[in-house]
Amino acid sequence: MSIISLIVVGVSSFFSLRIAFDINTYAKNNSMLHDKFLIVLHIQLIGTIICAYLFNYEIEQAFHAYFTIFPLITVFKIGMATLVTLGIYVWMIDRFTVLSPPSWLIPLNVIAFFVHSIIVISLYWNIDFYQLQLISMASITVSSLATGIGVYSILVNLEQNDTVGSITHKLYGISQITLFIGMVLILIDAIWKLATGIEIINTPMYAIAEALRMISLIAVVFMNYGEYLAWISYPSKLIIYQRIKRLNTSIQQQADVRRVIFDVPLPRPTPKKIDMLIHREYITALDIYQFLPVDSPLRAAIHRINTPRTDYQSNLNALGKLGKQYT
Amino acid sequence: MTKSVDAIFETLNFNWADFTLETFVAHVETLRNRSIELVGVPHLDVPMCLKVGDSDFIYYPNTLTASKQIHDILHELSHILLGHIDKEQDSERGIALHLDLRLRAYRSKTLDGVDLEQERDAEYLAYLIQLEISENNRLISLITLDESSKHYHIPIFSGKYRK
Repeated sequence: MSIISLIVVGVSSFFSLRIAFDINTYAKNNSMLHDKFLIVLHIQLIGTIICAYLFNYEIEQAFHAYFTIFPLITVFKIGMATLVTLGIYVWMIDRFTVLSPPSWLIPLNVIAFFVHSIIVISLYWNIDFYQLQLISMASITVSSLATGIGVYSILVNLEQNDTVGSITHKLYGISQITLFIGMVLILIDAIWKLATGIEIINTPMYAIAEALRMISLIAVVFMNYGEYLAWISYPSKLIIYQRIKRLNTSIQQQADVRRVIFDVPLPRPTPKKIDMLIHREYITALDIYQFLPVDSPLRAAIHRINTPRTDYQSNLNALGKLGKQYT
Repeated sequence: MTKSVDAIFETLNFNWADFTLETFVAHVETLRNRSIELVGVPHLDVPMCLKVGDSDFIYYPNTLTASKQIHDILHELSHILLGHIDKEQDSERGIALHLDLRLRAYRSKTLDGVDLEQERDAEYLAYLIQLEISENNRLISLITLDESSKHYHIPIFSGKYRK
């Protein structure tokens, strides 16, 4: 095993433990330690990361030499990648949306693991090693992304519970820089393999790509999607903001209220400020709608929104829809 | 009015990245050396602050959206921080009650029983606090967690605070 491989295994194991520790802390804080699904997630998460990095190409190649017609380790890696991808997807739906995935989805996930493994074995029986590498790389990349997005959601909550230390933020800064370089090198590496059909396992390019692939995984895990992708949701937020603002203007006219009393110097609606401005209009709407005539349909519509345990985003959309009538 | 509110906001000296209602209330308690208790009351007409002995109580309607509840609490905390409740104290009994009639202020500038200047100042301070927690990515996550997820405990209303 090369020095690079040792570093990769060591560092990835450290981060696996670190993530597991964070999840555990989160589980304890939320009295969810006995949540079986969370334990399954631990196994999937750690298993995938270890599979992706502990069984690196050199070890895998050695195994392949022994089991020439049965790519055991590669199939295991691909299977685990599938398992964790589906598992985290289901878990995220369950945890972060109002939907409840049916209970049969989890056993289906396990069945999918076996079916997928069988398909891979039957399709890629006795296939060239380098082609297997391409397949496993694709599977693991998808899996890593899913894992990263899933773990990021957990980290957001951990941050709110003050259980993520400064190391997370430092890692985030470092990994942001290497993310782009790593991804580009991985792509070049894969295209090179495809174009030449030659194994280039021990080239410097491979060594750098392997190391950066690990760092890019960390980048995906710790990436602040909210901040960097804010511009994607900005236009829709701006539309919502304008609509609720118009709705408030209309309520003021219909109810004869003077908003000017609580007017404060508001900032321009930049991507960073837009959430606050929407929230401000939201609160204003919920403040002033009660001055509308009692028989007003608009009053009844907003009254239905102003109850506890309603979803903030749905409420914004509902108010935006009402405001659309006044464009 | 803006100048004095800005000055009071500056003296808060709070780490906004750590904001939850619990941490912020604890901070205000330390600043004033008085305990503060949040009491959610179903279908309460108007939020209010009560000052009794060494404690301040904030009563707020808890049958509205979480965003409204948070806003009401921050508005009442602002009254406390700005010393409005202290001005209303009965010197003999040591009790003060501040009924928050800010919504009435939407209707008139001269309505009896509404100190518009106080309401405007409290609203501005509550706004500054919300702007700061929004800058630190705490506002929307706080609201979203409170209003949507079926799994989450509501950290801001847990512990010693009554629902």
